Amino acid sequence: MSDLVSTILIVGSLASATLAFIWVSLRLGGERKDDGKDTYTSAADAAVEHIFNDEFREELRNRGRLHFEKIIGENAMFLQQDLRLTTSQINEYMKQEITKTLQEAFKKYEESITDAKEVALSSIQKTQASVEEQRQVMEEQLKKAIDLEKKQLLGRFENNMADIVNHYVLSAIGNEISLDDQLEYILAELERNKKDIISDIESGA
Amino acid sequence: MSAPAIEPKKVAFKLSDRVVGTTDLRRILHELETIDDFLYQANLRPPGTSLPPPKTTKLLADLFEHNGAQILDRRSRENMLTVLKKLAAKAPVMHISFAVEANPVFIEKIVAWARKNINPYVLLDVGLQPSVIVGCNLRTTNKVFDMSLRNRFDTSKYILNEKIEKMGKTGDGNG
Repeated sequence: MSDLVSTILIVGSLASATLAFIWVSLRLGGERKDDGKDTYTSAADAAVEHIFNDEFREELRNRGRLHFEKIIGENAMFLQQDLRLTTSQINEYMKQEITKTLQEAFKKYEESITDAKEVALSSIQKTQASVEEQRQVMEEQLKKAIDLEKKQLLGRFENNMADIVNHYVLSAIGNEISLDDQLEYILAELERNKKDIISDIESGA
Repeated sequence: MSAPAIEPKKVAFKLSDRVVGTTDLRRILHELETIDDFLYQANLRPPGTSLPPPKTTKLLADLFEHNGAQILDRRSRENMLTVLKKLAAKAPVMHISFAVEANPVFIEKIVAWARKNINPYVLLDVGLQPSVIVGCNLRTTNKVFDMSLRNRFDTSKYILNEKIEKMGKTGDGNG
């Protein structure tokens, strides 16, 4: 800021000097009137040339260059600061936007997951109910089949009980039972049927 | 409960227990006829003429012995022939079958029981029936008596059924 003021002061001083010089030259020129008009002009030019010589111009150029560079540097700094600020704001904004978008996406995803979960649960419950129903039906069918099989087996066993017992008795005793061993049984059976035998023989004779 | 005892009939002619069935009866009848013919021919031939004697079995000798008769006596032979022919024609016949071939001693015991308890002149034709397995199968004129163990089990199966039902109930009670 001080550089700017100094620059303004310098430019102002230069301008006032120039104006003073012009006023002096005009004053001098007016006093001489017509005859010394060209002499004043050349004297002004010489004075201008004398003040604004090459060194002074070079000095002005250098000052201007430095001032320009300073301004450029300051502006670059400001621009950098603005850029950083903007970047940080953009980052913040992006963060917020991304977070918002992600939250929305997550919310939607969560909702879709919840829906899918409900659908899956509903499907599982339906399947479970169906499986349970089928299990009950199968259980009833199996029970009926087992009962039927049991009845058939029992019926078959009862019908063929004599053969079965006979088979097992024979398996147990093998071929060891001879007719002599059977004599007592046979005589007992004959005795048991004696009456019928006699009756048949007497009636059929 | 036992059946009322049937008194055996007292008979003049006693049929040996060794004479089992119709085959034995026909055989001794044939032997007796052969011997009778032989003795008759021997009487007709001049003394000293050789004549081969007929072959006989012990059954015929036993039969004469059991009845106290002499085989050389013509009258005894005639009586025996008459009786045997009558038996061959009219004696009650029973067919008894066993799972295996029975030995003579066993058959003799069965015949003795039958002649003592059924009829003194009953003839037993013995046969084989492997399906009987244990026991016997008796066939009379009009009936068949299945005296096998299988039939015994079959008629007594209600006992086993009751036992099984009891066991089932006990098992259900426990289970």
